[in-house]
Amino acid sequence: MSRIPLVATVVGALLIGGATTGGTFASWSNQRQLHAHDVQSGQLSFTATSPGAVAVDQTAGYTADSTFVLDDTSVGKNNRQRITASVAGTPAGITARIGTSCASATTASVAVDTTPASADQSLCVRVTVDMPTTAVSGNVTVTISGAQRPTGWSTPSTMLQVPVTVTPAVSTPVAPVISCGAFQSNGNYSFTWTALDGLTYSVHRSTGPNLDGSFATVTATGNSPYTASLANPSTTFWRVKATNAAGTSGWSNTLRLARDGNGINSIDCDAVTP
Amino acid sequence: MNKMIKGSIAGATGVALLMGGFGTYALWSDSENLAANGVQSGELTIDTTAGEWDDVNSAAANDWNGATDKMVPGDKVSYTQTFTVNGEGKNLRGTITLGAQNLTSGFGAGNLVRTVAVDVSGAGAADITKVDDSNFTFASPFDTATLTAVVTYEFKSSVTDTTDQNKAASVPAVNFVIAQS
Repeated sequence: MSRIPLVATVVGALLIGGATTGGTFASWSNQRQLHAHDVQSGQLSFTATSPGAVAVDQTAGYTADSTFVLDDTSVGKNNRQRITASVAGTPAGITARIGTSCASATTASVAVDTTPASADQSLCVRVTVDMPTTAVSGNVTVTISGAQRPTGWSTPSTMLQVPVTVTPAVSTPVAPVISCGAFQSNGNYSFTWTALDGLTYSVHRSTGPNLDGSFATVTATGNSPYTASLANPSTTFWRVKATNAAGTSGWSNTLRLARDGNGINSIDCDAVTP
Repeated sequence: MNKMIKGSIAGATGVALLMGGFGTYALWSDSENLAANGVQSGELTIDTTAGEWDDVNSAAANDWNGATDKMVPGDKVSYTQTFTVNGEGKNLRGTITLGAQNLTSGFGAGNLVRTVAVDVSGAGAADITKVDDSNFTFASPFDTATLTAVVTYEFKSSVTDTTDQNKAASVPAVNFVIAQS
Protein backbone atom coordinates (compact mmCIF):
# COMPACT_ATOMS: atom_id res chain seq x y z
CA MET A 1 0.00 0.00 0.00
CA SER A 2 1.29 3.37 -0.87
CA ARG A 3 1.60 6.03 1.80
CA ILE A 4 -1.03 8.43 0.39
CA PRO A 5 -4.07 6.08 0.72
CA LEU A 6 -2.94 5.16 4.24
CA VAL A 7 -2.89 8.78 5.41
CA ALA A 8 -6.31 9.42 3.85
CA THR A 9 -7.74 6.43 5.68
CA VAL A 10 -6.46 7.60 9.08
CA VAL A 11 -7.76 11.15 8.62
CA GLY A 12 -11.17 9.84 7.57
CA ALA A 13 -11.39 7.60 10.62
CA LEU A 14 -10.62 10.50 12.93
CA LEU A 15 -13.29 12.65 11.33
CA ILE A 16 -15.90 9.90 11.62
CA GLY A 17 -15.00 9.27 15.24
CA GLY A 18 -15.33 12.93 16.04
CA ALA A 19 -18.72 13.06 14.42
CA THR A 20 -20.11 10.15 16.42
CA THR A 21 -18.94 11.47 19.78
CA GLY A 22 -19.99 15.00 19.03
CA GLY A 23 -17.01 16.26 20.87
CA THR A 24 -15.79 18.22 17.97
CA PHE A 25 -19.13 19.51 16.72
CA ALA A 26 -21.23 22.33 18.11
CA SER A 27 -24.84 21.33 18.80
CA TRP A 28 -28.00 23.26 19.38
CA SER A 29 -29.18 24.39 22.77
CA ASN A 30 -31.69 26.89 24.01
CA GLN A 31 -32.87 28.00 27.44
CA ARG A 32 -35.49 29.95 29.30
CA GLN A 33 -35.83 30.74 32.98
CA LEU A 34 -38.15 29.48 35.63
CA HIS A 35 -38.69 32.93 37.05
CA ALA A 36 -37.54 34.01 40.45
CA HIS A 37 -40.41 34.06 42.96
CA ASP A 38 -41.04 34.15 46.67
CA VAL A 39 -43.63 33.60 49.36
CA GLN A 40 -44.13 35.49 52.60
CA SER A 41 -45.94 34.76 55.83
CA GLY A 42 -48.32 37.13 57.59
CA GLN A 43 -49.13 37.55 61.26
CA LEU A 44 -51.90 37.08 63.80
CA SER A 45 -52.54 40.10 65.97
CA PHE A 46 -55.09 42.54 67.36
CA THR A 47 -55.21 45.79 69.25
CA ALA A 48 -57.57 46.86 72.00
CA THR A 49 -58.40 50.31 73.25
CA SER A 50 -58.27 51.06 76.95
CA PRO A 51 -61.60 50.56 78.71
CA GLY A 52 -62.96 53.52 80.61
CA ALA A 53 -63.18 53.68 84.39
CA VAL A 54 -66.53 53.00 86.00
CA ALA A 55 -68.11 54.20 89.23
CA VAL A 56 -70.71 52.19 91.09
CA ASP A 57 -72.85 53.03 94.04
CA GLN A 58 -72.59 50.67 96.97
CA THR A 59 -76.11 49.50 96.43
CA ALA A 60 -77.10 45.96 95.58
CA GLY A 61 -77.79 45.60 91.88
CA TYR A 62 -76.13 48.86 90.96
CA THR A 63 -74.46 48.52 87.55
CA ALA A 64 -72.07 50.50 85.42
CA ASP A 65 -70.61 49.77 81.99
CA SER A 66 -67.23 50.16 80.35
CA THR A 67 -66.58 49.54 76.68
CA PHE A 68 -63.50 49.03 74.58
CA VAL A 69 -62.81 48.24 70.93
CA LEU A 70 -60.95 45.34 69.33
CA ASP A 71 -59.24 45.70 65.95
CA ASP A 72 -57.98 42.64 64.07
CA THR A 73 -54.58 43.74 62.78
CA SER A 74 -53.63 40.37 61.36
CA VAL A 75 -52.03 40.00 57.95
CA GLY A 76 -52.73 37.11 55.60
CA LYS A 77 -55.23 36.40 52.84
CA ASN A 78 -56.69 33.40 54.67
CA ASN A 79 -56.24 34.65 58.22
CA ARG A 80 -59.23 33.87 60.44
CA GLN A 81 -59.03 34.80 64.09
CA ARG A 82 -61.10 34.07 67.19
CA ILE A 83 -60.52 36.66 69.87
CA THR A 84 -61.55 35.62 73.38
CA ALA A 85 -61.96 38.14 76.20
CA SER A 86 -62.52 37.08 79.81
CA VAL A 87 -63.09 39.04 82.97
CA ALA A 88 -61.45 38.03 86.25
CA GLY A 89 -59.97 39.45 89.39
CA THR A 90 -62.99 41.51 90.31
CA PRO A 91 -62.91 43.47 93.56
CA ALA A 92 -64.78 42.06 96.56
CA GLY A 93 -68.51 42.43 96.33
CA ILE A 94 -68.39 43.14 92.60
CA THR A 95 -69.41 40.93 89.69
CA ALA A 96 -68.17 41.63 86.17
CA ARG A 97 -69.57 40.22 82.96
CA ILE A 98 -68.61 40.80 79.35
CA GLY A 99 -70.39 40.72 76.00
CA THR A 100 -70.53 42.18 72.55
CA SER A 101 -73.04 44.66 73.90
CA CYS A 102 -73.80 45.85 77.39
CA ALA A 103 -77.19 44.20 77.27
CA SER A 104 -75.63 40.88 76.40
CA ALA A 105 -72.81 41.13 78.93
CA THR A 106 -74.00 38.17 80.99
CA THR A 107 -71.05 35.78 80.92
CA ALA A 108 -67.49 35.76 82.15
CA SER A 109 -66.02 35.46 78.68
CA VAL A 110 -66.95 36.19 75.12
CA ALA A 111 -65.46 35.13 71.78
CA VAL A 112 -65.67 37.01 68.52
CA ASP A 113 -64.58 35.78 65.10
CA THR A 114 -62.74 38.30 62.98
CA THR A 115 -60.65 38.69 59.86
CA PRO A 116 -58.17 41.36 58.87
CA ALA A 117 -60.95 42.98 56.87
CA SER A 118 -63.49 42.92 59.69
CA ALA A 119 -64.95 46.05 61.16
CA ASP A 120 -63.76 46.89 64.65
CA GLN A 121 -65.57 44.95 67.37
CA SER A 122 -66.87 46.69 70.47
CA LEU A 123 -67.03 44.80 73.77
CA CYS A 124 -68.75 45.84 76.98
CA VAL A 125 -67.81 45.05 80.58
CA ARG A 126 -70.77 45.39 82.93
CA VAL A 127 -69.90 45.78 86.61
CA THR A 128 -72.56 44.98 89.19
CA VAL A 129 -72.57 45.41 92.95
CA ASP A 130 -73.76 42.14 94.39
CA MET A 131 -72.43 42.44 97.96
CA PRO A 132 -73.10 46.01 99.07
CA THR A 133 -71.50 45.64 102.44
CA THR A 134 -68.23 44.33 101.01
CA ALA A 135 -68.05 46.11 97.70
CA VAL A 136 -64.75 47.94 97.42
CA SER A 137 -62.94 49.84 94.74
CA GLY A 138 -60.40 48.03 92.58
CA ASN A 139 -59.70 46.81 89.06
CA VAL A 140 -61.54 44.31 86.94
CA THR A 141 -59.00 42.46 84.81
CA VAL A 142 -59.89 41.66 81.21
CA THR A 143 -57.68 39.04 79.55
CA ILE A 144 -57.73 38.94 75.75
CA SER A 145 -56.08 36.49 73.39
CA GLY A 146 -56.44 35.52 69.76
CA ALA A 147 -56.22 32.16 68.05
CA GLN A 148 -56.14 31.35 64.36
CA ARG A 149 -59.07 29.34 63.08
CA PRO A 150 -59.21 26.41 62.66
CA THR A 151 -55.62 25.81 63.84
CA GLY A 152 -52.32 27.57 63.76
CA TRP A 153 -51.04 30.70 65.35
CA SER A 154 -52.08 32.24 68.65
CA THR A 155 -51.33 35.61 70.15
CA PRO A 156 -49.84 36.42 73.53
CA SER A 157 -52.45 37.44 76.11
CA THR A 158 -53.22 41.09 76.58
CA MET A 159 -54.36 42.31 79.99
CA LEU A 160 -56.61 45.32 80.36
CA GLN A 161 -57.74 46.91 83.61
CA VAL A 162 -61.14 48.44 84.21
CA PRO A 163 -60.84 50.74 87.24
CA VAL A 164 -63.94 50.44 89.44
CA THR A 165 -64.68 53.08 92.04
CA VAL A 166 -67.26 52.19 94.67
CA THR A 167 -69.01 55.06 96.37
CA PRO A 168 -71.04 54.61 99.56
CA ALA A 169 -74.67 54.01 98.99
CA VAL A 170 -77.02 56.89 99.68
CA SER A 171 -80.07 55.76 101.60
CA THR A 172 -82.88 57.50 103.38
CA PRO A 173 -81.53 58.86 106.67
CA VAL A 174 -82.73 57.43 109.92
CA ALA A 175 -84.81 59.60 112.22
CA PRO A 176 -82.67 61.78 114.48
CA VAL A 177 -82.92 61.50 118.25
CA ILE A 178 -83.53 64.84 119.91
CA SER A 179 -82.26 65.57 123.40
CA CYS A 180 -82.64 68.28 126.00
CA GLY A 181 -79.95 70.92 126.04
CA ALA A 182 -79.19 73.99 128.04
CA PHE A 183 -80.70 77.32 129.17
CA GLN A 184 -79.60 80.41 127.42
CA SER A 185 -79.17 83.76 129.13
CA ASN A 186 -81.99 85.44 127.24
CA GLY A 187 -84.61 82.84 128.01
CA ASN A 188 -83.95 80.78 124.95
CA TYR A 189 -83.22 77.13 125.08
CA SER A 190 -80.78 75.04 123.03
CA PHE A 191 -81.38 71.39 122.28
CA THR A 192 -79.47 68.89 120.22
CA TRP A 193 -80.05 65.86 118.01
CA THR A 194 -77.96 63.14 116.54
CA ALA A 195 -76.56 64.44 113.32
CA LEU A 196 -74.69 63.19 110.27
CA ASP A 197 -72.75 65.11 107.70
CA GLY A 198 -74.36 65.79 104.39
CA LEU A 199 -77.87 66.09 105.70
CA THR A 200 -80.22 68.97 106.11
CA TYR A 201 -82.70 69.11 108.98
CA SER A 202 -86.16 70.44 109.44
CA VAL A 203 -87.11 71.59 112.92
CA HIS A 204 -90.80 71.53 113.67
CA ARG A 205 -92.53 73.42 116.43
CA SER A 206 -96.13 72.99 117.46
CA THR A 207 -98.31 73.91 120.36
CA GLY A 208 -99.77 70.42 120.66
CA PRO A 209 -97.99 67.15 121.40
CA ASN A 210 -99.23 65.47 118.23
CA LEU A 211 -98.31 68.00 115.59
CA ASP A 212 -101.54 69.73 116.34
CA GLY A 213 -102.16 73.34 117.21
CA SER A 214 -100.19 76.04 115.55
CA PHE A 215 -96.84 75.02 114.16
CA ALA A 216 -93.97 76.14 112.05
CA THR A 217 -91.14 74.45 110.29
CA VAL A 218 -87.71 75.93 109.86
CA THR A 219 -84.75 74.49 108.05
CA ALA A 220 -81.53 74.16 109.90
CA THR A 221 -78.72 74.30 107.48
CA GLY A 222 -76.22 73.22 110.04
CA ASN A 223 -76.29 70.59 112.67
CA SER A 224 -77.48 70.87 116.26
CA PRO A 225 -77.53 72.57 118.74
CA TYR A 226 -80.60 74.46 117.77
CA THR A 227 -81.66 77.45 119.81
CA ALA A 228 -85.36 77.73 120.41
CA SER A 229 -86.86 81.08 121.26
CA LEU A 230 -89.58 80.57 123.88
CA ALA A 231 -92.35 82.93 124.88
CA ASN A 232 -92.96 83.26 128.58
CA PRO A 233 -95.09 81.54 129.57
CA SER A 234 -95.43 78.92 126.82
CA THR A 235 -95.42 75.23 126.18
CA THR A 236 -94.17 74.02 122.79
CA PHE A 237 -93.27 70.71 121.27
CA TRP A 238 -90.22 70.25 119.05
CA ARG A 239 -89.24 67.58 116.60
CA VAL A 240 -86.64 67.15 113.86
CA LYS A 241 -86.36 65.20 110.64
CA ALA A 242 -83.37 64.74 108.30
CA THR A 243 -83.22 64.91 104.52
CA ASN A 244 -80.65 63.74 101.95
CA ALA A 245 -80.65 62.88 98.24
CA ALA A 246 -82.39 59.59 98.93
CA GLY A 247 -85.25 61.05 100.87
CA THR A 248 -86.44 62.27 104.26
CA SER A 249 -86.36 60.45 107.56
CA GLY A 250 -89.22 60.03 109.90
CA TRP A 251 -89.71 62.45 112.77
CA SER A 252 -87.48 62.30 115.76
CA ASN A 253 -88.81 61.93 119.23
CA THR A 254 -90.47 65.05 120.67
CA LEU A 255 -89.21 67.54 123.22
CA ARG A 256 -91.65 69.47 125.35
CA LEU A 257 -90.31 72.85 126.39
CA ALA A 258 -92.40 74.63 129.01
CA ARG A 259 -91.68 78.08 130.37
CA ASP A 260 -93.70 78.88 133.48
CA GLY A 261 -93.62 82.69 133.43
CA ASN A 262 -90.95 83.01 136.00
CA GLY A 263 -87.29 83.67 135.47
CA ILE A 264 -85.39 82.86 132.42
CA ASN A 265 -84.22 79.59 133.86
CA SER A 266 -87.69 78.29 134.62
CA ILE A 267 -87.87 75.98 131.63
CA ASP A 268 -88.77 72.36 131.77
CA CYS A 269 -87.57 70.00 129.06
CA ASP A 270 -89.05 66.57 128.67
CA ALA A 271 -88.54 63.95 126.03
CA VAL A 272 -91.94 62.87 124.91
CA THR A 273 -92.53 59.63 123.17
CA PRO A 274 -94.61 60.28 120.08
CA MET B 1 1.97 33.15 -61.35
CA ASN B 2 3.88 30.16 -60.56
CA LYS B 3 2.43 26.80 -59.79
CA MET B 4 2.80 27.15 -56.01
CA ILE B 5 0.72 30.25 -55.83
CA LYS B 6 -1.95 28.80 -58.05
CA GLY B 7 -2.15 25.69 -55.93
CA SER B 8 -2.59 27.72 -52.71
CA ILE B 9 -5.40 29.72 -54.16
CA ALA B 10 -7.19 26.60 -55.27
CA GLY B 11 -6.81 25.00 -51.90
CA ALA B 12 -8.13 28.03 -50.01
CA THR B 13 -11.10 28.17 -52.27
CA GLY B 14 -11.89 24.54 -51.64
CA VAL B 15 -11.74 24.97 -47.84
CA ALA B 16 -13.99 28.01 -48.00
CA LEU B 17 -16.52 26.05 -49.99
CA LEU B 18 -16.43 23.22 -47.53
CA MET B 19 -16.97 25.58 -44.56
CA GLY B 20 -19.86 27.28 -46.21
CA GLY B 21 -21.62 23.95 -46.51
CA PHE B 22 -21.80 23.16 -42.60
CA GLY B 23 -25.24 24.72 -42.10
CA THR B 24 -26.81 22.15 -44.18
CA TYR B 25 -25.78 19.14 -41.96
CA ALA B 26 -27.78 17.90 -38.64
CA LEU B 27 -25.82 16.47 -35.62
CA TRP B 28 -27.18 14.44 -32.58
CA SER B 29 -27.29 15.89 -29.01
CA ASP B 30 -29.14 15.14 -25.67
CA SER B 31 -29.54 16.66 -22.14
CA GLU B 32 -31.07 16.01 -18.65
CA ASN B 33 -31.57 18.43 -15.72
CA LEU B 34 -29.86 18.06 -12.42
CA ALA B 35 -33.10 18.33 -10.42
CA ALA B 36 -33.59 21.34 -8.19
CA ASN B 37 -32.65 20.39 -4.67
CA GLY B 38 -31.86 21.79 -1.24
CA VAL B 39 -31.73 20.92 2.45
CA GLN B 40 -33.53 22.35 5.48
CA SER B 41 -32.50 22.58 9.04
CA GLY B 42 -34.78 21.64 11.95
CA GLU B 43 -35.20 23.52 15.21
CA LEU B 44 -34.70 23.15 18.89
CA THR B 45 -36.42 25.88 20.86
CA ILE B 46 -37.89 26.60 24.26
CA ASP B 47 -40.20 29.45 25.19
CA THR B 48 -42.07 30.38 28.31
CA THR B 49 -44.71 32.68 29.69
CA ALA B 50 -45.22 34.53 32.94
CA GLY B 51 -45.92 32.31 35.93
CA GLU B 52 -49.27 32.14 37.71
CA TRP B 53 -50.06 31.83 41.41
CA ASP B 54 -52.92 29.86 42.87
CA ASP B 55 -54.38 29.39 46.33
CA VAL B 56 -54.52 25.62 46.26
CA ASN B 57 -57.03 25.36 49.11
CA SER B 58 -59.62 27.45 47.32
CA ALA B 59 -61.76 26.45 44.39
CA ALA B 60 -61.01 29.59 42.43
CA ALA B 61 -58.23 29.66 39.86
CA ASN B 62 -55.16 31.84 40.05
CA ASP B 63 -56.47 33.58 43.17
CA TRP B 64 -53.20 34.22 44.93
CA ASN B 65 -51.35 37.48 44.51
CA GLY B 66 -47.69 36.59 44.75
CA ALA B 67 -46.75 40.20 45.30
CA THR B 68 -49.08 41.03 48.17
CA ASP B 69 -50.71 37.97 49.70
CA LYS B 70 -49.19 36.53 52.86
CA MET B 71 -49.33 32.94 54.03
CA VAL B 72 -50.66 31.65 57.33
CA PRO B 73 -50.41 28.15 58.78
CA GLY B 74 -52.48 25.76 56.71
CA ASP B 75 -52.00 27.67 53.48
CA LYS B 76 -50.82 25.93 50.33
CA VAL B 77 -50.01 27.99 47.28
CA SER B 78 -48.55 27.06 43.93
CA TYR B 79 -46.49 28.83 41.30
CA THR B 80 -46.98 27.44 37.79
CA GLN B 81 -44.94 28.27 34.72
CA THR B 82 -45.21 26.55 31.34
CA PHE B 83 -42.51 26.01 28.74
CA THR B 84 -43.16 25.20 25.11
CA VAL B 85 -40.44 23.15 23.45
CA ASN B 86 -40.03 22.40 19.76
CA GLY B 87 -37.68 19.83 18.30
CA GLU B 88 -37.45 19.03 14.61
CA GLY B 89 -34.69 17.24 12.73
CA LYS B 90 -34.47 13.61 11.63
CA ASN B 91 -31.54 12.78 13.82
CA LEU B 92 -32.38 15.13 16.69
CA ARG B 93 -31.81 13.84 20.18
CA GLY B 94 -31.03 15.59 23.39
CA THR B 95 -31.98 16.55 26.92
CA ILE B 96 -34.11 19.02 28.79
CA THR B 97 -32.74 20.01 32.16
CA LEU B 98 -34.01 22.24 34.96
CA GLY B 99 -31.23 23.68 37.04
CA ALA B 100 -31.05 23.35 40.79
CA GLN B 101 -33.41 25.64 42.67
CA ASN B 102 -31.81 26.85 45.85
CA LEU B 103 -34.49 27.98 48.30
CA THR B 104 -33.54 30.77 50.64
CA SER B 105 -35.95 30.54 53.56
CA GLY B 106 -36.41 32.34 56.83
CA PHE B 107 -38.96 29.79 57.97
CA GLY B 108 -38.22 27.21 60.61
CA ALA B 109 -37.09 23.80 59.47
CA GLY B 110 -39.98 21.76 58.15
CA ASN B 111 -42.55 24.50 58.60
CA LEU B 112 -42.58 25.53 54.95
CA VAL B 113 -42.46 22.60 52.54
CA ARG B 114 -41.63 23.20 48.90
CA THR B 115 -42.14 20.67 46.15
CA VAL B 116 -41.31 20.98 42.47
CA ALA B 117 -43.13 18.91 39.88
CA VAL B 118 -42.48 19.12 36.13
CA ASP B 119 -44.59 17.18 33.69
CA VAL B 120 -44.70 17.02 29.93
CA SER B 121 -47.82 17.12 27.82
CA GLY B 122 -48.92 17.87 24.29
CA ALA B 123 -48.56 16.21 20.90
CA GLY B 124 -44.90 15.37 21.26
CA ALA B 125 -45.03 14.23 24.86
CA ALA B 126 -44.72 10.56 23.88
CA ASP B 127 -41.31 11.23 22.42
CA ILE B 128 -39.96 12.82 25.57
CA THR B 129 -38.93 10.65 28.47
CA LYS B 130 -39.15 11.98 32.02
CA VAL B 131 -36.17 10.90 34.10
CA ASP B 132 -37.18 12.97 37.11
CA ASP B 133 -38.68 16.39 37.75
CA SER B 134 -35.50 18.08 36.56
CA ASN B 135 -34.37 15.88 33.69
CA PHE B 136 -35.96 14.79 30.43
CA THR B 137 -34.51 13.13 27.34
CA PHE B 138 -35.58 12.70 23.75
CA ALA B 139 -34.12 10.38 21.12
CA SER B 140 -36.10 11.58 18.16
CA PRO B 141 -37.78 14.71 16.92
CA PHE B 142 -40.92 15.46 18.86
CA ASP B 143 -42.34 18.44 17.05
CA THR B 144 -43.85 20.32 19.98
CA ALA B 145 -44.61 19.65 23.62
CA THR B 146 -45.37 21.54 26.81
CA LEU B 147 -43.47 21.27 30.04
CA THR B 148 -45.38 22.50 33.08
CA ALA B 149 -43.41 23.33 36.22
CA VAL B 150 -45.46 23.56 39.41
CA VAL B 151 -43.71 24.79 42.54
CA THR B 152 -45.88 24.26 45.60
CA TYR B 153 -45.36 25.86 49.00
CA GLU B 154 -47.19 24.43 52.01
CA PHE B 155 -47.12 26.28 55.33
CA LYS B 156 -47.75 23.54 57.85
CA SER B 157 -50.93 23.87 59.88
CA SER B 158 -49.09 22.39 62.84
CA VAL B 159 -47.22 25.67 63.34
CA THR B 160 -48.42 27.33 66.55
CA ASP B 161 -47.96 30.36 68.78
CA THR B 162 -46.22 33.13 66.88
CA THR B 163 -43.79 30.90 65.01
CA ASP B 164 -42.66 32.03 61.57
CA GLN B 165 -44.71 35.20 61.37
CA ASN B 166 -43.48 37.79 58.85
CA LYS B 167 -40.96 35.47 57.23
CA ALA B 168 -40.00 35.05 53.58
CA ALA B 169 -38.71 32.32 51.31
CA SER B 170 -37.48 32.85 47.79
CA VAL B 171 -35.78 31.15 44.88
CA PRO B 172 -33.76 32.87 42.17
CA ALA B 173 -34.39 32.41 38.48
CA VAL B 174 -33.34 28.98 37.28
CA ASN B 175 -32.46 27.97 33.71
CA PHE B 176 -34.51 25.41 31.86
CA VAL B 177 -32.14 24.18 29.12
CA ILE B 178 -32.97 22.13 26.08
CA ALA B 179 -29.84 20.83 24.33
CA GLN B 180 -28.96 18.59 21.44
CA SER B 181 -26.70 15.67 22.23
